[in-house]
Amino acid sequence: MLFNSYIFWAFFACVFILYRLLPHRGQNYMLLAASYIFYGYWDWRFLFIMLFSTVVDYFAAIFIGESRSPRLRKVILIASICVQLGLLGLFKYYGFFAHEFSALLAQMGLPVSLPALGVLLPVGISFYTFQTMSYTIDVYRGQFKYTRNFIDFALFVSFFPHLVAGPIVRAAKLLPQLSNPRVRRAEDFRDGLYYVTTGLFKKVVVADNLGVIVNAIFQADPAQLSGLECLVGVYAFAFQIYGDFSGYSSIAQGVAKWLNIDLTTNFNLPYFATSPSDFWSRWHISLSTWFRDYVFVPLARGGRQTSRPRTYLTVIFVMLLSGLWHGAGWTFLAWGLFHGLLLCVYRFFTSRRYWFFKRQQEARAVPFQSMVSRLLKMLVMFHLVCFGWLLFRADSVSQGLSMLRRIATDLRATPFAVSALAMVAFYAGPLMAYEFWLEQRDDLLKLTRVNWLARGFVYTYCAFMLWFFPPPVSNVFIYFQF
Amino acid sequence: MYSSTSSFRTELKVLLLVVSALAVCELVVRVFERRLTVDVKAPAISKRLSEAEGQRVLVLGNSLVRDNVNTDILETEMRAQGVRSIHIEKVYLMNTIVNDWYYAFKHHFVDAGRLPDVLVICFSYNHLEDATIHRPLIARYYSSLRDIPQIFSEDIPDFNGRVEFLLSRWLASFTHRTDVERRILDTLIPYYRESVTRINDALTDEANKRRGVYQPGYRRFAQLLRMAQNRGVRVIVVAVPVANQYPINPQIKSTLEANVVTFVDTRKVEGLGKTSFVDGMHMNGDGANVYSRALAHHLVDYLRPPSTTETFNSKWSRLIASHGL
Repeated sequence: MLFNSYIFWAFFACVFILYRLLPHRGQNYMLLAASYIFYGYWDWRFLFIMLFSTVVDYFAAIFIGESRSPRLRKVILIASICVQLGLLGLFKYYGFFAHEFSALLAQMGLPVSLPALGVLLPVGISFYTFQTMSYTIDVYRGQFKYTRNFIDFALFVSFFPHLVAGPIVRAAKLLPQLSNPRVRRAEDFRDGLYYVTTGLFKKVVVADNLGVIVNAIFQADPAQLSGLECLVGVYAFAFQIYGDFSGYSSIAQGVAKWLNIDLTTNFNLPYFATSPSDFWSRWHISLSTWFRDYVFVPLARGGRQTSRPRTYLTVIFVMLLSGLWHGAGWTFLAWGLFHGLLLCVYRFFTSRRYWFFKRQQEARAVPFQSMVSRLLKMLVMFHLVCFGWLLFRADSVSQGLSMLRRIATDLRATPFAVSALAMVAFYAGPLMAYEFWLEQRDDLLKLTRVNWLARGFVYTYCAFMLWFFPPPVSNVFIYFQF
Repeated sequence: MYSSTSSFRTELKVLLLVVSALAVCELVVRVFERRLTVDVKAPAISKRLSEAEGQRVLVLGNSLVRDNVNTDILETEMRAQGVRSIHIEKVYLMNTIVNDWYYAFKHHFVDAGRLPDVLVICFSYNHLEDATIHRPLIARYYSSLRDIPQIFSEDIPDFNGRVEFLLSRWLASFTHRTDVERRILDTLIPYYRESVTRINDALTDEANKRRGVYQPGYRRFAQLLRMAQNRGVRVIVVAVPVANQYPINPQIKSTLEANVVTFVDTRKVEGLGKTSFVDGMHMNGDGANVYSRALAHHLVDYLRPPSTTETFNSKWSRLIASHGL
């Protein structure tokens, strides 16, 4: 049940009507049932895994919260994390590691065939396991009071708008909204409409239309492509993955808004970032803050001043984990390693006050000279991010490197390259122009605060594009696989 | 409903603006619908054919019929070879296959009571294999409400597809959205057609890879043959030439044999070469002229009136038997 499908909107219309008719507790029961139907629509067997994950962390949090023995609390927390990571490892990583381990043993002259599980990856497992882990860790740290209400907790884990592709919402933000009666706010319909409209535009118009160009280029043998074609393929993928993922997050936020529930903002105009750290404060915010709070900070000795090499190693480790989170493959690890190195290089140079890497304190409303320097930094950062996307999208590291070689040596403007570049500009250009306007205004919801007629024209443009520019094939959201 | 209804009312105004704009688009598309598609002409063609004198022949297929079969030349050649009273019309549905032709024939000829005497089905490659119907076209031009149960149960099992079918049925702008898209992009994007060909090839490769090895089915093709024959329409199936030679699945031949249908193999025609084709599939004017004359030569035996002592059916049986099917 994809957000860009009619069945989802028929489903949501039913949920919305029932939601408005029911009292608070009834709403929660109904939302839980709806979330399980939504998830089971993919494959009902996945429900058991999610239910197991929910039950484990529900009781783990209660035991942790009620136990007075620090040692017991720690043991329960570790057990809970092991279960969650075990599920993730079993379903997501076993195949990859088993394959690589067998290959390694074979190279050492020890041919061993590890059993293949042949299981499907449950949709969204990376998202909900991280969400439940953050809950038990927060309870362990005393940052959040556990809940005894199983329905509320199960709904926290499975709340359908963000269940399969995030954002990963912390218990402190979402659980109180579920436990307490929701307040109907005047702006919820307006904001929800904004999020849903822009989200559908990003997903259907930008991501899916560019997806076919990306596939055509990345499926081809790099030797048969010109460098410019490879480059356009990378640009197209940069906008595809952004449109796809931020589009999903935006629709999730919009749908939740219509249920008077606030989700975390997951993207903050990431392609206008001026540095690696700025990029990671704008891209997949809920995941990067998760890794920051639950991995980086504890490893960097609780955030206290630590040695520079240790910090760099921790950054690289965290980014490798982030790469692995996205998928079990060498290309994802290479992507994580690249971003880790990028962050370390940036950290190294900013500490030495090189001009180009100086932190931009005054991000917005800057004079012309600063504006030029900021645009230059955005351009450089965008291309560094694109290099990362090349590794991320390539079927193998060698394919990524071959394409990079083509980009470096052959920038012939073939008809296909020119045409594909024009299509990237046609689909993604207006979105980037609009986001540049938002960036200048420093307000993600600025459009909801302008004259209704102007908003109406923007929505009309989105509706026109959605109506008349359907993608050749309807794609599932890329982030479902993560 | 809300603590403050003004925000809600403002957004309703926004939505009203959007809906109004889309309504204007719908009106514009309806005004220009005749320019956007040839499919609107199908009722007039079936009417013309039903009112014609003599043998009424319908040539059915897709863009290959549009570009490769010249009905004027066919008629002229037929007359020159002694088939005096004949009227030939062609109905072609762009980007379609036999599943679509089935509904086109059913809607405009069978259900409308305007049956031709002879139905000539032109195909190449995999056009006779069972596949997904062209929903927008079938919804708007080639089906009626009575067909919907059959279409939903046999051709569109999924909810999203059914919604799109109904939207196409009621809204011209939805039916023709890809036509509008193509025209806009063709104007704005340099080398658009070349690029789309390349993208289409990549998509086809991907789809084939995903599909893997498969056994094609010919259920709908057989249904089309039976639907026509049960109503006394003689059917001729023609393999049309394209730039490269293609194989004919044995299942096609067995389906033809099972239904006692004439098969005319024109995959190789003297005078046609690679240069006769614009894109490997569709012929240029000269190629179409050469092919149409050759097709007339192949068909004439089947369309020549029987002698006074021979009925149509007996002549037909004789011809089929002599064809060796």
